[in-house]
Amino acid sequence: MPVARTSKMPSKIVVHSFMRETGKTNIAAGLAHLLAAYGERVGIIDADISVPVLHSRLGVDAKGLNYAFNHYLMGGCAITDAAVDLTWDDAASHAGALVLVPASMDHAAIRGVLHQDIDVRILNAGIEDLATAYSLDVVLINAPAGLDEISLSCMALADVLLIVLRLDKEDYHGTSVTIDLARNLKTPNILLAVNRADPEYEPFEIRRRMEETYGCAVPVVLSAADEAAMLFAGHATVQERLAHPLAALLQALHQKAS
Amino acid sequence: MNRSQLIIQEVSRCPAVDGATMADILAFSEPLRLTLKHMVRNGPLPVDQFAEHLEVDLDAARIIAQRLLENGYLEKVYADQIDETNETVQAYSPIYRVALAPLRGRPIPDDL
Repeated sequence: MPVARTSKMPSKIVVHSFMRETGKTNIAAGLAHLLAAYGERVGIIDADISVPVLHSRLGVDAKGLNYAFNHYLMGGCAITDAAVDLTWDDAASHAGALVLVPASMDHAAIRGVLHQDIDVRILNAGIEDLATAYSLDVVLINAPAGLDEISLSCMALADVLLIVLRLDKEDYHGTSVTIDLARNLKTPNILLAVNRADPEYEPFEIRRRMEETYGCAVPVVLSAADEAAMLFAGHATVQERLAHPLAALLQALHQKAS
Repeated sequence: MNRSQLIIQEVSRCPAVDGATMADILAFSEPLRLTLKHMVRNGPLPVDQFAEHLEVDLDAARIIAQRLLENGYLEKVYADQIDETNETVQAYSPIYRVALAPLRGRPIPDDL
C-alpha cells in the first residue's frame, strides 16, 4: 500500500544529548529511517566526529568509504563526495530518500579534525549543498554529545533541537543547561526524547513530569527494549512503521512543521 | 539610555576577539545575540537589514557594526551594486557577516 507523502518537515533537525551513552545516535538513525519510509527525502550527517558510529547503525561498512564528514571539514572534499545514498526500493517508491554523510573511523581523519583549525561556517554551507544536490526535505544532524563549539554551532542552525536524555540526575542537570542555551539562541522548536527508561515506570507519568519540569514537549519515552526494536526495525513495512517506537516523535515533528 | 545607546555600550565593552565563537555570541544580550545568530544561520546582512534586526536607526547600526568589526566579531564583505538600467557597477555597499573563529586544532602527539 503506497504511503501518502507527508507534510513539509522542518528542514534541520539536530539530535543532541548532554551526556554520552544516551542512545542519541540510535534515535537519530531510527528517525532517519522512519522519515524516509514515510516519503521524506532525508539527509543525515554524523557530526559526532569523536564517536563515529552512525554509519554502522545504518548498516554501512566503514571499509567502503573513501570520504567522510571529517574530510569535508578539513577541506579535502565536497560534502557530496562523502555522501552515501542508502535509499531502498520501498522508500524510493514513496518518493523517500536516505542519504548519509558519515564520520570517519580512520584514525588519521579523526586526528586531522582534532588537530586542524576548522572553519565552522562550512557546516551550514555543507548542509545547504547536500540538501540541494539530493533535493532533501530534511537534514538530520547527529551532533556531538555535551556542549562544545560544534554542538553549539549545530544548535544555532537547528529548526528543531531534539535532546535525548536518560532518567539520570546528571542528565537532568545537563539537559536543563542545554535547554537554557537553546532558548537563549531562540531555537524554534525544542523536543525531548527520554531513552532507556526503566520499564517499571509509567511512560505517561515520565512524560508529564518532564514536560512540567522543562517546559518542552516530550513526544517519546523509550525503554531499552524499544530502542533495540527501533534498531531492528530498519526498512520497516507499512504496518511496522505504524508501531515504530518513534512514530509519536514523527507526529510531533509534523505538528511543529504545520 | 535608549535601545541604541544600550547596544552601543555593550559592543564598546565587549572584549576584542580573533573571530567569534558561538559561546561569544551567546554571551551578548538580546537583540544583538539573536541578530548575530540570524547571521550565522542565514548569512551576511547589509547595514539596513542589520538595523532592522536590531530595531535601531541606520546611524546607530553603523556604529554598532563598526565596533563589532573592530573587536573581531564581524567582517565586512562587499557586494557589487549593479545599476540595472546601464548594468554598470555603481558602488560597493558594505555587507557584514559574522567572523566566526575557526575551531582551533589541538596539538596531538604523532604517535597517538
